[in-house]
Amino acid sequence: MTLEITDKELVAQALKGDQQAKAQIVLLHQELVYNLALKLTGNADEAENVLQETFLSVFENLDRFRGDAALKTWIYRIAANEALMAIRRRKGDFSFRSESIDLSEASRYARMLRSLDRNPLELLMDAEFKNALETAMSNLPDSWRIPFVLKDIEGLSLQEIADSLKTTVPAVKAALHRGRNALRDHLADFIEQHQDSPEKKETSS
Amino acid sequence: MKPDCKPFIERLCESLGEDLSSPLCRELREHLDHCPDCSLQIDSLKRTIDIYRCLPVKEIPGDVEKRLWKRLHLPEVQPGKRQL
Repeated sequence: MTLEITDKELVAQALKGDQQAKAQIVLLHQELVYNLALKLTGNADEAENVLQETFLSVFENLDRFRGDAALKTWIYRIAANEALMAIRRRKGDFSFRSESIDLSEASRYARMLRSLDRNPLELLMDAEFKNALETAMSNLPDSWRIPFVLKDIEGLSLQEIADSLKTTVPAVKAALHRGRNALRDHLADFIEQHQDSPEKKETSS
Repeated sequence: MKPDCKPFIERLCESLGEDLSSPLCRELREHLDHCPDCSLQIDSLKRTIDIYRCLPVKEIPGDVEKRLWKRLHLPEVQPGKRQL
């Protein structure tokens, strides 16, 4: 039987130098940090670096953890900051690109929706499909991917994102719009090219 | 508008910084009720976001985990002894 231990107790033990407590903190949160880093940076090497720097920072600043928020939330914030710093080091500051969106693709989106309605579970079980989604996200420009990840996947508010990126809420909204559209178009492309749909089967037979 | 579009419209309005009952959001809803093309745009975006939210969590590769623990000078924990 394992006893429930609170965040504060775990941190207190780690601050006393208890290696098992430190190990427990890493075990509990390493997956969360790695996945966030991977989504934000879009790059496995950078994600590994962010993972390491996050936990180094966590243990360096552990005495500042007050327990007002959950340990998970505290570590999450450190990880998000580390990932954003890594991206800034790579490319300088964030630039919000603009690009025109083709609004005349209704029939393609209709086919995409029909396909998604027909077999959503099958699609999510398909490794090639998952890989295509991840690649599309990692290929987005940083300035589109980061707002998408933080808002649509991680659920941060527009103001929180604007503060983290040192930009304005309208700029975040514009980037979010571009990112969503680009990902939707990648998804529609993938479905057009790879989906062995009944429609295709009918036309090919 | 499809019934499952309502939460998305709420999110869309929130993204625009608008209250759901604001004139802009009302106008959006009314337009979508009568415009299949715009409904397709919105619905396809909604489904894209939903699918990204459903992506499974990735496991940390073994070598990445090993290097992390080495850098933190932590003893490796055998999978069977992990207290999670």
